[in-house]
Amino acid sequence: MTRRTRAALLVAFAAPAALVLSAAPASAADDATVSVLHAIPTGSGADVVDVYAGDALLIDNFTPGTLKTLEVPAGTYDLAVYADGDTPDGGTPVLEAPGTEVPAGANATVTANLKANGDPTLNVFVNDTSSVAAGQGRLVVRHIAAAPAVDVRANGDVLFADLTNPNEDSAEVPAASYEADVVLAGTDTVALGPADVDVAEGATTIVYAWGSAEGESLALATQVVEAGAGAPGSVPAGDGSSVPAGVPGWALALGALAALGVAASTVRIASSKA
Amino acid sequence: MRRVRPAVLVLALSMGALVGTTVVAGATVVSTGADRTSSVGTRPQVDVEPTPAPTEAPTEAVRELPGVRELPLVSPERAVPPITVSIPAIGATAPVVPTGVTRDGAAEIPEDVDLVGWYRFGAGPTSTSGSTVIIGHRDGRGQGRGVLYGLAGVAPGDRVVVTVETGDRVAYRVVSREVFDKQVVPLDELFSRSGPARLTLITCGGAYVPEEGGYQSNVVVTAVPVGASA
Repeated sequence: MTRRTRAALLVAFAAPAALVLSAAPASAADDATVSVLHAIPTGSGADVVDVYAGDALLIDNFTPGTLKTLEVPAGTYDLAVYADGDTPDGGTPVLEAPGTEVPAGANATVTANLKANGDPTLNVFVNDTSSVAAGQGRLVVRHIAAAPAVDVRANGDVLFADLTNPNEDSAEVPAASYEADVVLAGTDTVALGPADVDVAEGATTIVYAWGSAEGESLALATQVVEAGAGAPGSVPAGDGSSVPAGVPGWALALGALAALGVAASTVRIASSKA
Repeated sequence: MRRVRPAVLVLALSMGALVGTTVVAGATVVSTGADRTSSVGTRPQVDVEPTPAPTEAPTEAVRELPGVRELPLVSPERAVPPITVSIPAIGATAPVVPTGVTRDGAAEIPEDVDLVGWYRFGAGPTSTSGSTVIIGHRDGRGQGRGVLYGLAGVAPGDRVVVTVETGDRVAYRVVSREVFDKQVVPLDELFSRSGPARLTLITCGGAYVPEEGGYQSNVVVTAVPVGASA
């Protein structure tokens, strides 16, 4: 796995936005969707880990910069991360999050990452899957790096200010590709990026800033979660310029009534539409 | 040879677990073999024999908790953009350009009334589900009548043909023509990304009342792919 890890990190450094991860939503009503992101950089004692729920193995041979999405039954889980080879039977976990509640229908991401001071930790983030307005996407940025407070800029403008580990910020923005970078809060000192971040319409695009400033391993990872979008508010498809001047409004209204009458008498062949 | 090295490395690391207790599909299994990865995941049945040294690489994710499954990484279905639409019954043929929403949340429509817009956030003609929405202006100042001016004259049974970017043609049969007051036009339904694959053509119509915001209605034609039951 060492070789693959290196490759992934190289990709992460060269083009952070290339690491885009997205999964189909959980299907059954009593299930929940749980993603796990390994965001502890290589060389921090967690290069290859196994993730357990109680004494059951959830994810085997998990390496930095990777994300797994699982559909799990709703319930309470004792999550623990073991160095590869150690097990709950006698081993001591590197990290643990006992009593993690996963309600039915929830969509959450568990991150194994560094605290601001560089110590490894687990964080649980709830992913917002509520629908957005037509044409919009939801952009979420999560600071899970051993790094100080940052500002996140999109196309040069500060979108999220003074974000600190382990916090997140969120905004609905027009769906588009943004040139994003991360600067030390209140400065123009670039810590990460710039990178192209595609904010998809009707989805929640989550960007993780992870790694270590001191270890020069800062990187971005992106996760996309389906959210859904509304319809446009109106269809203004004409300006009336083809209407002859001087025709009184009531005459046109009568014409419209006639048109409506025709429409009402039209047999609708389609039995149903969604 | 490079490819097998990571797996070999992982196996060497996991050799350290000489005796492991693991849960396979709810049953507790004591494995006395050299490697726990050989008794889980790749072989879901309970194994009571001492397990020999593994010969295959461990799986990426081992699903041991009942009801847990890894969700595959998926790319959202990308709709294939339509490039022309033709409605022979009203002599209308027009190039199609992708459109979205305006700053105030309205459907975006090409200024040029000889063009129609395809709602790029919705389905496309080759999508397996959802409404492919094509919108055109009824008229435009200085340009006269738009290409969908005659949309209200389309009748059930009429054909509509759409060509897409890949060159494929999708033929539709009109199943309804409706005129909705703009106050009640069911936009959520017309722009829905679920339900059967269908084509929704929209323009303006009804009374033109400048002091009431212009046209009071939307003309909506719904068509289904030829061959589809409707």
